[in-house]
Amino acid sequence: MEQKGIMKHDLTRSRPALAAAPPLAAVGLAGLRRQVALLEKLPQANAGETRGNLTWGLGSIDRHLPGGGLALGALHEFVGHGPDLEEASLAAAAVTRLVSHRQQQGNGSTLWIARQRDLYARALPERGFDPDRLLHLRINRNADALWAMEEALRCTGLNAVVAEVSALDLTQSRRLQLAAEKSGVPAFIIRRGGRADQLRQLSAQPIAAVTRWRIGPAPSLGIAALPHPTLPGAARWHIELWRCRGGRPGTWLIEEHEDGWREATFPQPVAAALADRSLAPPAASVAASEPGIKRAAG
Amino acid sequence: MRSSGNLRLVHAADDMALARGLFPGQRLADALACVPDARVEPADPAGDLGNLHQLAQWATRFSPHATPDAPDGLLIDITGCAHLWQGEDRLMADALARLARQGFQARGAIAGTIGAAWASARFGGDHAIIPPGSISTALGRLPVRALRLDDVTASGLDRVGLRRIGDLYPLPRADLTKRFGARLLERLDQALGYAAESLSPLAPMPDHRVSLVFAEPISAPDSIARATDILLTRLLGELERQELGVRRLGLVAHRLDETAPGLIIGTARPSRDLKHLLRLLTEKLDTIDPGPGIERMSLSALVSERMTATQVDFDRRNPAVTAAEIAPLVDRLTNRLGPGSLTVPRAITSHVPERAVAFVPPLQKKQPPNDWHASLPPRPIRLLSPPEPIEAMAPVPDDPPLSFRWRHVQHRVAKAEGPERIRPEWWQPSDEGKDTRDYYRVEIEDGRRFWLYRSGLYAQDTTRPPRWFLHGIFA
Repeated sequence: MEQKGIMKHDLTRSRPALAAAPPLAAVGLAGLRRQVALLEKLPQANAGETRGNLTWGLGSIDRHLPGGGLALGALHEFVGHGPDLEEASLAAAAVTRLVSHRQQQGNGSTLWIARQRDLYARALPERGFDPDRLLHLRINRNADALWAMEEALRCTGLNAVVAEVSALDLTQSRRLQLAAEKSGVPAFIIRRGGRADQLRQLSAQPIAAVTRWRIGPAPSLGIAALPHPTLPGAARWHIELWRCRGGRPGTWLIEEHEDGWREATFPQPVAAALADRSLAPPAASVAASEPGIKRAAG
Repeated sequence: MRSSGNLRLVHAADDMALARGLFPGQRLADALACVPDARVEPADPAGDLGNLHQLAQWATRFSPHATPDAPDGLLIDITGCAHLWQGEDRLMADALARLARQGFQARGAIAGTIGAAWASARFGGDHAIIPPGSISTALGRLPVRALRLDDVTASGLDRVGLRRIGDLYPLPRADLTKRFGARLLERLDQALGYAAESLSPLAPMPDHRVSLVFAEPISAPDSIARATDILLTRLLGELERQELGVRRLGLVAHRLDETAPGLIIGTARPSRDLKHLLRLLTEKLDTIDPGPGIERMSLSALVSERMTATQVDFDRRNPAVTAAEIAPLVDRLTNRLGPGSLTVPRAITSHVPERAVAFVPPLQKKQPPNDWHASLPPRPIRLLSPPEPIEAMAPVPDDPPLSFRWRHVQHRVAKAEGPERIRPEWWQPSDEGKDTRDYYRVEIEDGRRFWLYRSGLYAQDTTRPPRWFLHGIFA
C-alpha cells in the first residue's frame, strides 16, 4: 500500500509538467532547442532570458551561437591563432570589446589576471572599454591565477574575469565553469605564456569551456598610397569557433572598425564570401550562404 | 674582541673574566697575558643590534612603547602600565627575571625621565626606582658620565674636578655652555625633567589593542584560531562603539621562549566585517610558529578609519556600492598575493607611451578623474616593457622599415603608416639625453601589426646611428 501511494504521488507530480509543455508545433525550433538545453543543463538554457549574453555585434556570429551570443556565467576560452599564438593580442582585444558591451549595461569592474602588465590601458578606449573599470592582478604562478580567478568569480561586483594562463586542465576548468555558473559572472581564459609548441599542445587539450575560440590575424586590404608604402587598412581577423557546447563550429573573416566588427569586405561593394573564395564553387551554395560568411571549406 | 686600527681590543667580557681583571677597552694581548685560558670571540655589533631589536619587540609585552637604545639598552615607557603588575617594583622584577631566564644579564631602573632611568640603571644601585620629586638628589651622587655624555666632554669635566652630577647644579649655566657646549646642559635638563625628551616607539602606537593571556600555553592551530576569533570579536566591538573600521590589523603571539612572531593584514577600505577579517587572518595563521607554546596573544588595529554606513543602492549605479562589493575580494587577493599585485591603471598626462599609464593600488579615495580620451593615433593593445631592440632595414631618412628581425625571426613589412614623432620630455630629469622617437605602425605579411620606433634621427653624426625598437603589438 505504501509503495503504491508513493508511485501515485510521483505520477501526479510529473503530470502537470507534461501538461504544461505546449504542443510541438507551437514551440518551434528555438523552443525545442531550449528544452533540450534544459534537459542537458546547458548554461544557455536560461541565459537567453534571465542573464543576457555578450554579443559580438555581428549578425553572422551571434546568430550562429546558441542563445544569440556568449552566455554569461560561463567559461569561454580564447587562443591566439597562427602567428599570434604567443602574444594573443587579438584575443585580448576581442575580450575587451566583448566586455565593453557589458560595461555599458551596468556597473562593475573587470578583473584582468596576467603575468605581465603589458595590457596597455591607452588602447582600451578605442574598443569602448573604460580603463577606470579595470582591475589588473599580476601573478607569478599559473596556480595563483586559477585560484584568483575562482575567488573572483564568486564576487558579483565584477562584470567579467579574464585570466591569461598557459596550462588549464579539465578539473580546473570545471571548477571555474561552476563558479561562473553560480554567480553569473562571465569568465574568459586567454592562453598565453610558454613556448609556442607547448602552448599549442596545451590549448588542444579538452577543457570545460562553453565556447572555445581561435583568433588570428589576416592580411588587411591595404590602402594604396603614393609613392611607396601601402597604408594598412582595417585590421582583419580570422575567427574560428572550434568548440561550442550546444552549437556548431564555424569560421569567419571579419574586420575591426572603431565602432565594432564588420564582415570583411573589399573596397568594391562585393561581399567577402563572394570575392575571397576558390575559383569555381557550386553556384547554389553561394546563393544560399549569407553574405559575409566564409565557409571553413572555402 | 674588536679591532680598532691595528689594535685588537677587548669589546666585552663576562663576569668571570671581569673578576680576573679584564676590562672592556683593554688590549687583547694584555688581556691574554693576564688570563691565558680566556676564550676569544670576534665582536658582532650588527648581530647585537638585531638582537636588541628583537628584545624591544618582546618588551612590548610590558608596554606598547618600547624601543631599543643602542648599543646595550632597552627603554620602555611604562606610564599607566605598572598597575597591571601590581606596582612598578613587581613589573621590573618580572622583566628582569624573564631576561635572566633568557640568559641576559640586565640591570633595571625606573625613573620619571629617560635620562634619570638611563643613569641609575648603569651607575646607580641595583634595580633602583627613583620616586617622583627626588630625581635631583638621586642623580647628584652619580658620576657625570651617567648623563649620556661623549668621552671628550666627560674627560673634560673630570679634568676640572667636576666628578659628580651634583657638582654641576650650583654652577652658572652660561659658563658651562661656553666651556663644554650646549649638549651638556641639554642632557642635564633632560635627566632632571626640565627639558622634554620622548622615545620613539619601535612600532607605531596602535589605535586599539586587545590581548588575551592563556592560563595554559597553547600551540594547537585550532586553539590559536579560536583565540583569534575571540580577540577579533572584542576588538570589533570596541571599534563599533566609536564608529571606526580597521585598515590594518596586527596579530602578535608572545611565546614561552620570549619571542613574539606576528602577522599583519590590510584592507583596502575600513572594515568591521567579522567574517571577512577573520578569513583574512586565518589564511595567514599558519605562518605563526607556536614553538614551545603561546602564552599571550594580542591583536591591534594598527590603522583605523572612520566608517560611514552606505545606503544600499538598488539600481547598482552608485560607485561606492560597487566598491563595497569588491572590497572583500581586493583584500583577499592583496593579502595572499602581496601588496602591489592588484592595481588599477591611472592616466598620466604624458606623450611618452610607457609613461602615459601608471598602476596604482585600487579603491583609493579622492583621486581626480582620469582622462582617457586624449585624441591619439591608435595605440597597441600590448605595450612591451622595455621596448625590444630589433634589426631593421629602412630607407633613409624617415621611411618605415622594409623588413626587421624580432626575436630571431625575419619579418617583411607589407604595409606601414607613420611616422608619429614623440619627443623626449625635456622637463623630466630622466629624459635628459634621450633621443627623439619616430613611431611607425607596420603590418607584416601574415597580418600582424606592430608598433616600431626609431630612436634618434639620421643625421650627419654617423658615430651614433639610430636604433630600432619594437614597442607594442596591435590587435
